[in-house]
Amino acid sequence: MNDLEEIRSRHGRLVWNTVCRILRDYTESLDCYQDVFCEVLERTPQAEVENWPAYLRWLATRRAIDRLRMRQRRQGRFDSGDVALVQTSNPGPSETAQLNELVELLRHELTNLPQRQAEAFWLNCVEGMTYEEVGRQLGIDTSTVGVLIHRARRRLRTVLMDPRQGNCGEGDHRHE
Amino acid sequence: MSNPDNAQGDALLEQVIEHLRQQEIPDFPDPEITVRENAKKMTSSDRPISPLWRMVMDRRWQLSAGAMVGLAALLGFLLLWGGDMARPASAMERMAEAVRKAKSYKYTSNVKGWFTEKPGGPRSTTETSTTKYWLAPDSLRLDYTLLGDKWKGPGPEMSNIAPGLNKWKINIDNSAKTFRRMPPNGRRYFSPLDRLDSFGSFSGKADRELGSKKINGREALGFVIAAQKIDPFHPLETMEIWIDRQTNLPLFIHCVSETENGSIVEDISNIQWNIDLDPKLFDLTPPPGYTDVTPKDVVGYLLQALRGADPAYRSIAACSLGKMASPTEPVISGLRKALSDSDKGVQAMAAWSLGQLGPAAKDALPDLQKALNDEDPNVRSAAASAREKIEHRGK
Repeated sequence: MNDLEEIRSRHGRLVWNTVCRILRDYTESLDCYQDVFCEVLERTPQAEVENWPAYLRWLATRRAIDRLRMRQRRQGRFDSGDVALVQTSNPGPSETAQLNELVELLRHELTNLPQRQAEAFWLNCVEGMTYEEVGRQLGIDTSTVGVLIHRARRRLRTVLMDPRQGNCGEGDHRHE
Repeated sequence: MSNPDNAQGDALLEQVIEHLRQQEIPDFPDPEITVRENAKKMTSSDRPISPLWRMVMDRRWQLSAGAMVGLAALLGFLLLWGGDMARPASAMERMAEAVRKAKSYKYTSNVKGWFTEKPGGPRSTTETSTTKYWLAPDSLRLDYTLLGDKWKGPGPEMSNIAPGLNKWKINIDNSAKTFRRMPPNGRRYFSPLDRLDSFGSFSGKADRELGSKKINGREALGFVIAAQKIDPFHPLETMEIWIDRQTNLPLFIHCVSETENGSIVEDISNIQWNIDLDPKLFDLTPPPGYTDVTPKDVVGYLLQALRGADPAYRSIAACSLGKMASPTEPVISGLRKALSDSDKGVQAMAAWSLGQLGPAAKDALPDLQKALNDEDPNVRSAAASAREKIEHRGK
């Protein structure tokens, strides 16, 4: 328990930042934050974790994307989460508003990507983990990480350029 | 790949990612206070008490006594009814444990299904019969035949033999009478019987029991796991597993997987556990008279692939060169050129591979230095890491 508390006090902020970035909903982020540490307590053999920050980033990303997908299924529509969090108190120029919309579109499209693609993309492109770190967490080799990220980027690029390409509410591609 | 739309899309994607990173994040909550603890505090003082709850509280002693009687009756019923029946939860746990301890196995898998390259595209069907042999710690052999094909035997149509994680492998094509040797790629194998090992995580969550029946003269206990109900992203939709009551090892498995891109039904049968497997099964000697179709120059082949049309393959080729090639001039030169590839993924992978080659790749340092200023964070990060490896190992 002390170990967990130590892990939480050392890396809690990292988990919080990751789940907030993905979920953009304060209450849900709190729940997800707690889920991550409950899972660490219940299921993770602590001796086997070599790199806690990388492991927690991955776990937080996975659980937050799970929640995002569930939210999506439950609501069956494009949901921008907690709007109060998305909009800053000082609304910027129209470019910022447009970028905010695109960020929401990206977040939404993340739920349409196959699970590993979404995780690899997020961990590498947003969280800044290296291919090797991502590969180690996902249990795949570096070349596969490259392929997953390449495909995710291709898909996201297409959707950002033409949002009509997005498939709101379509099924998952679980076999990636 | 020099499609201007792609470049524009990439730039937009980078801009959006950067904006996402910059978005405000609410203050980090006090880590000592959890949501559930807050919820508990709420129930004790803040929440209004409903009339129904008040009624329950008023009659709590009568209700408690009734509940105790009911509980005792239920317990008695369970003891009488389910005396010798293993709970699926513990059955699954025991199965996972037994699978992990296995020393060897052999089974037959029959797969039937269809798939499409893209949603809505033309369907291809597949029907395969495979015999899989596994010997601890990491020897694997697959003998398989595409059913409905022209191959009538004798023996399997194809054999893939991998005597170990870091050893060369061989793929034998009995229909063409050819063989191809494959270099070790360090790819992880799954633990025994791959997916089965992970079933342990579904402990206590089986949908329903299927009772008992005899399979190959053994008393078997069956249960169904609706995997995607538990984990929405599990690759299999449902799994029907029959385990040996005595050994807890699986005797028969029926898996169904459905996606918009395909549907696969797999039956795993004739499972034999902890048997003595002939070491010759993992022998890399090809059958006499077969033609060697191994590319004579694997590195040359990869260098050629590095100039191919598909960036995904160029990326794999770049990675493989870093893993297996010696730091010769053509390899270093090929990877240096790949640092200017039109695809950022290939560039990052080429940088990574140059790092893997170590100090011998020092000629690439100026290119890596240039890549440190690349607009793509992956390229920058891979280049920085590669430079460190080349310089550090050189000391």
